[in-house]
Amino acid sequence: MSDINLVPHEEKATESFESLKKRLSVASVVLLVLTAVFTMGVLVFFTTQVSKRTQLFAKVEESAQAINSYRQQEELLVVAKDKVGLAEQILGQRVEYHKTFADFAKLVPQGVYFTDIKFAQGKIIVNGKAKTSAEVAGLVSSLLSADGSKIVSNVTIDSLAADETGTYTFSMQAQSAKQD
Amino acid sequence: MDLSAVSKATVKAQSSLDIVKYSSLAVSAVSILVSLLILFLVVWPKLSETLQIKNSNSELTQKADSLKQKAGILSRLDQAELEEQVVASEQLLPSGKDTFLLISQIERAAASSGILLNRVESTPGLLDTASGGASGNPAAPSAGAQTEIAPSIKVSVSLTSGYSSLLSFLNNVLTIPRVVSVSDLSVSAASSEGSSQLKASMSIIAYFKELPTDLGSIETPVAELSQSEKDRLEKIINTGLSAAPAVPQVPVGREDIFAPF
Repeated sequence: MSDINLVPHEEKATESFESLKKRLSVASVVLLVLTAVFTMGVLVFFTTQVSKRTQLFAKVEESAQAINSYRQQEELLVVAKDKVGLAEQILGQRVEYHKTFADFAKLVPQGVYFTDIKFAQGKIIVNGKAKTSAEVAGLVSSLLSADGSKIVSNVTIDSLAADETGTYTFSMQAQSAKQD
Repeated sequence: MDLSAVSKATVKAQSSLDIVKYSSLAVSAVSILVSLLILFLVVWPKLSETLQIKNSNSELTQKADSLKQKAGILSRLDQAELEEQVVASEQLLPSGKDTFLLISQIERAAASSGILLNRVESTPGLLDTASGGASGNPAAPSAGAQTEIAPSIKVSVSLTSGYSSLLSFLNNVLTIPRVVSVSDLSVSAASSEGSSQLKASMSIIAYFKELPTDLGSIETPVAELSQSEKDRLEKIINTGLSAAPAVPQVPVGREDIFAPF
């Protein structure tokens, strides 16, 4: 059996209108409250940030004055740092030949001597003499060892010749471990 | 009876009733509208402005911190010590070429090593580095990787010595206060059959650097000297700054400038 609508159409419309009115009122109040809260929040945030900015400006100004009062020290430090920093860089790269010779001296067999040695653009060219071929082999083996590779790499023997006395003359070149 | 008049009056009454009815909604609607206007026209721009201030504040905080740190570093420095360090750094890396000082230092190193200098050769070029001499002679061409680092002058040296004297000379040259490096070293026995006497030639490269002309902005951070840098300067200071190397003074004035000495 279908329901009998006992509420008149006019009354139903009024009821729906009243409901809309009520919802709109609530929404407006809620929005107003939110707007007020949000505005207050933004205002407080703004005030805090502005006050912080003022404090920071004061801090910067104070530090700037302090730095200006130490200007002479700063000039001296900049000059010293500029020069000694560059000097350290150069000194770190330079080759200390007296140490290279000392290192060579530990590796060269007793039956070998150099007649000349030339260091140029990262290359070492050595000419020398050896009592026997074994001494030359000993030299090569020393240069190729772990200690030798700290001084030279890519060792090449360009020539090796013995004269009538059995003395060997050799010429070799290698890459310097530290570029000059 | 005129029914149209009644109908008109009814319509009029109905519309005035509608106005009254809907006007009760107007308060809420206007309040919502005003809220939205406040939010979008006042609060939102203010919030954006505040966020910008917040960003600039974080930059300012960093700036304030770095300035405070810089001021702290500078306040800890001892001016007298710094002055000594600057004098020492000037000996380490002079502002000018100081060619004659370098040659006299090489001669002193040779004398103390017991070697015989056969030849000392240099082409100093323009001596006044401040007027462009530094850029006119940027570096020795054979100085390898070091040529790019700083302007330099090159002195070519040939010498005769024993092996230990040569090592002593190489050591003495590298221990002069000024930053020098040795390149193109060539050593050969004085005779082809081997000899205790050696002939050697080398290029001694000495570096220099002009003084910085400005400090930069106040915000430029200052770097303190590292321990190794302090130690290096300390070493020069300890050798005696008052005994700073100088070219020896010579008497001046001759009657005949062509008469041999």
